[in-house]
Amino acid sequence: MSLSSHPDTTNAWLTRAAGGLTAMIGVLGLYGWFTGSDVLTAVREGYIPIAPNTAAAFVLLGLALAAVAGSSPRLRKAGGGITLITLVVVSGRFLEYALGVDLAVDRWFFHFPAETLGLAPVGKMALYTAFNFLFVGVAILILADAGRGRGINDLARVLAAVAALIGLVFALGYLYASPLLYGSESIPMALPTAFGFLVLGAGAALQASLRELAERRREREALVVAHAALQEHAREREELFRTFMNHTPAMAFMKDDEGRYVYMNQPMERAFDVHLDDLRGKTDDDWLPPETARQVRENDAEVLARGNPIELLESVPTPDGRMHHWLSLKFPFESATGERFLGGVALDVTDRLAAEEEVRRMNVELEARIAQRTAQLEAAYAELESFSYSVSHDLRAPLRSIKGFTQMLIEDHGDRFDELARQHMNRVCAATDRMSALIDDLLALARVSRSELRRERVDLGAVARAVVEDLREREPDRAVQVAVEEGLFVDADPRLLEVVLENLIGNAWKFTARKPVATIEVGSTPSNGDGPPGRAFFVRDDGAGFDMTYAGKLFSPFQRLHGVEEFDGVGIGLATVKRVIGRHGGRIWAEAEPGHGATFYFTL
Amino acid sequence: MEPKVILLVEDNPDDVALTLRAFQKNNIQNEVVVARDGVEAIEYLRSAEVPPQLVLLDLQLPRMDGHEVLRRLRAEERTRLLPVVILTSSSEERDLVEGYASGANSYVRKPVDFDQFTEAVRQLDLYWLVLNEAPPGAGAAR
Repeated sequence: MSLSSHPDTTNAWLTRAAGGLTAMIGVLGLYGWFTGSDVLTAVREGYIPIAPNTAAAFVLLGLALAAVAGSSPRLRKAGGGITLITLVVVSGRFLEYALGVDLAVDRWFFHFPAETLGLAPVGKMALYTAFNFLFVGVAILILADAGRGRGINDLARVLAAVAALIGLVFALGYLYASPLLYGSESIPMALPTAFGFLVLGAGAALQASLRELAERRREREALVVAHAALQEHAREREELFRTFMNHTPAMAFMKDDEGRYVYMNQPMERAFDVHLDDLRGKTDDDWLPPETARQVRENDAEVLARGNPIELLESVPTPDGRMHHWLSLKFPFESATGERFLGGVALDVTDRLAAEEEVRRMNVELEARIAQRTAQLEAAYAELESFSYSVSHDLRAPLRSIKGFTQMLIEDHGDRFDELARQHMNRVCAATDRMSALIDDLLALARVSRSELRRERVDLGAVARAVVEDLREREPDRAVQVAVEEGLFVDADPRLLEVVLENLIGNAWKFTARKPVATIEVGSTPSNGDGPPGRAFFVRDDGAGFDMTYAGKLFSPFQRLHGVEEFDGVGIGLATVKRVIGRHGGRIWAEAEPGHGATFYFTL
Repeated sequence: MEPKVILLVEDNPDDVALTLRAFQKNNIQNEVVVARDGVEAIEYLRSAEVPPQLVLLDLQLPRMDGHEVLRRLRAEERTRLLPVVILTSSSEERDLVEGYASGANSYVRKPVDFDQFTEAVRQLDLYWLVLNEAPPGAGAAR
């Protein structure tokens, strides 16, 4: 893991001090060589002096160490650079030893006559020294790059520690004057050198440790930040979820498998005027009326036992005493740790149930009202029945008497009367006839209203032709051309349809009486314009016609558009027709022109 | 053979007069017995030695109406086969149905027009008194 180039300035001053001290040792050594001072180069007379190169190397590495302990990356890079150069020189020494060649490395920079201190051989860097410089140099190089990982850091520490240790060992050797440590064959390490390594190594090792500590701290901090961020995120999610739960109009709750409340949302708290904090850990027995609680717990137990969600209607009163009905969905579930819970969602359907009840009640009421109306209607019909019945008997009898005796008068005593008297009596007879016809028509009209409508597939054309035949039979002298369209099938009551056609065709027959040759058509037309969509049937004649101005009166009972002298009739027929058409759900209308005939359209 | 009796059951005196006149005009020789209501009619039928050849029965009668009379007639052995023609103003379907169901032999509507009525009577006479074969026991001496 790599770290950002975070300055590790705390306690770096110790490292810098170590670096400074090392450099100082080197400077003193060099100065000693320049001035021929024994103390500075060897500490004590007879001891090995520090080689000039070694001293120079200490100066450089000491400065480098101080540099890498700093905060500026440029300084650290500089330190690294210096170290690298030093190492190159040291490597030269290695090559000399390895190849046995005298590259005179130590004379590259300094040249001191061997005789100056009366010691020989002098000035060459010892092999131990060279190795040590390699160790500590690599260590400082590693420290120069602050971005390295922990493993490398450990390596630096180890190398530095080793170098310091070696230095310590040699220093102790001087202290105890142990000849073994001098190394019999090679040039032993000088005391200042040993000391220098001790200080430099220790300093580098310290810096490596500081680095590691700093890194650890950074890691910890990063962990804390990440942890905090995660917690925040989790909190937000929980908050969102909580808000969601508290805004749903349904009640939601959780109980554990002993029936103790674990959670309830705000709508539930509000509905029952309780608080989750008060009820957490308590069961329904603690706050619901005993009977309700028992019922609820029974339902809960069933859900948990079955392991399936259950939907049911529960009746639980609210604190104000009103009984509410809840559509509850209860379901069991397990947490990740295997604990069993009972979850529930409930919707207040009291109003809905009340509405349903209301609808049901209204339906019942409606049914009752319908039954009542039907009874009334039936009673009215019954009255009409008896009325028609009595009419058919009671009204005709006197008519018969009037007509009969008048006729008898004419027959038996007609010769006693004058022309005028005979005319009077004829009028009496005629009037009686009209009244009789009227009674018949009225009865027919009443019958039309009373009778049941039985719809069948009827050939309108066939009925029309039958009516025409009948008319022809009654008045064979009339010359009437009749055209009836084929294939006129309708859904209608056959008897009532007959009434309609009898009237319409009968009218056509009647009102064409003046024409020498009359034409009557019966057919159908796709209706458009005024009429309702679909097919319309018509009966057309080319007879007397009528003035459209009075068309509104056409279908009213007793309204006539012609005088009785012109054409016979009492004006009931069309009213009857209209009623029949009406009962079939159709419409009837007419178009005519005086003197050019009339067309009656109707739909069924 | 004795002339056959026609029993006319009719309460309306005008109608009786008209009917008798119609018979007269048609030269019907039979004796016409008139019963003014159902009770009289049944009493007559019970007491008569010879059952009439034809019964002309009106439906609108006081006390016992025509349908009831017919049912009673048909219930008794003596009069079960008696030819009965319902002669009435009513053209109501239910009267028709009930009449035939109760065993009427014929149903004729009394027209208002007297001439038509006379014609109807003539035809009735022609059919029932001349053409029709009466059931045994009617018109014959006991």
